[in-house]
Amino acid sequence: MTNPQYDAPQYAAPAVAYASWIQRVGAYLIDGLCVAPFSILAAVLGRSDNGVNAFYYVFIVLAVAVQGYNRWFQAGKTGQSWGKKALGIRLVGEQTGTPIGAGLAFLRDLAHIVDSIICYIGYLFPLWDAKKQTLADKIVKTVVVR
Amino acid sequence: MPEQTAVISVVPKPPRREFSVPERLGGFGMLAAAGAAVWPFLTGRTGVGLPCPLRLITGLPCPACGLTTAAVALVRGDAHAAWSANPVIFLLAALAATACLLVPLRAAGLIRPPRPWSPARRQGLGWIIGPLALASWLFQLHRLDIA
Repeated sequence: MTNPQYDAPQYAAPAVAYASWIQRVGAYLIDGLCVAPFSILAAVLGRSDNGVNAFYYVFIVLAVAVQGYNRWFQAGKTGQSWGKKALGIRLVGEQTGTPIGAGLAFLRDLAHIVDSIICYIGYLFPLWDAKKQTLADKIVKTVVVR
Repeated sequence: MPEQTAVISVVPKPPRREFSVPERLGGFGMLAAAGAAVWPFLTGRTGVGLPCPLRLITGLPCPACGLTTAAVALVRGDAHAAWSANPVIFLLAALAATACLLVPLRAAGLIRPPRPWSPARRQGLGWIIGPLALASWLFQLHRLDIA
């Protein structure tokens, strides 16, 4: 017996609207601005006569905490860090189309080392890549969409 | 009811004007030119630079070494210094000039959206980029007196 619901024609997958390179750069810069005050405070207030003092470590920990909350926890759970939220783009899995979770978001940021090590050319990949992915995106299989 | 598959864009976005890869690279070139214009002031004040990771770790330059110097020189108008630092900057400048011409035309709808290249054509481009990168790398090795 045929079941019309299950035999219905499958619609083609919707064309994905990838975020442009400049949108991603903007989001990245905004995310950086959220962390920068702590790094600056660490550098300025953390200096002492023989190296660094306690303030340095306090502000570095705060910087990492803000970065972690924003780019790993928030971006992993909702797909949007503050920067991405401001630019209206979201980070999702390539196959699932859903947010990737904090762990994978952290690994993705770590994978940016690969983008950097080839003289930052990896960060330019979205300019010509078909899915506008950086090398880090390719490694953890994510895309940024708008 | 069959389960809904994940939908990435719920609200259909208005069709965005598509630009070709050379235009996008040219757009990046314009950004780089703007950055190169302010770069001397930034580095003078803060002492920050853009070191080559490869060169830091291995001591060997990469094909992109000298592009910052070349960009600053070219924006200043010193073509000879730009060439001596890294000739590839002229390729980026050519792309930027192309973008200045094509992007307004495409944005205004006066020329058709670009047609994407086939995978074969994209691969063929690799045969041009590869030797170009190698040539640039040899140039840098020579420039820094390593080879």
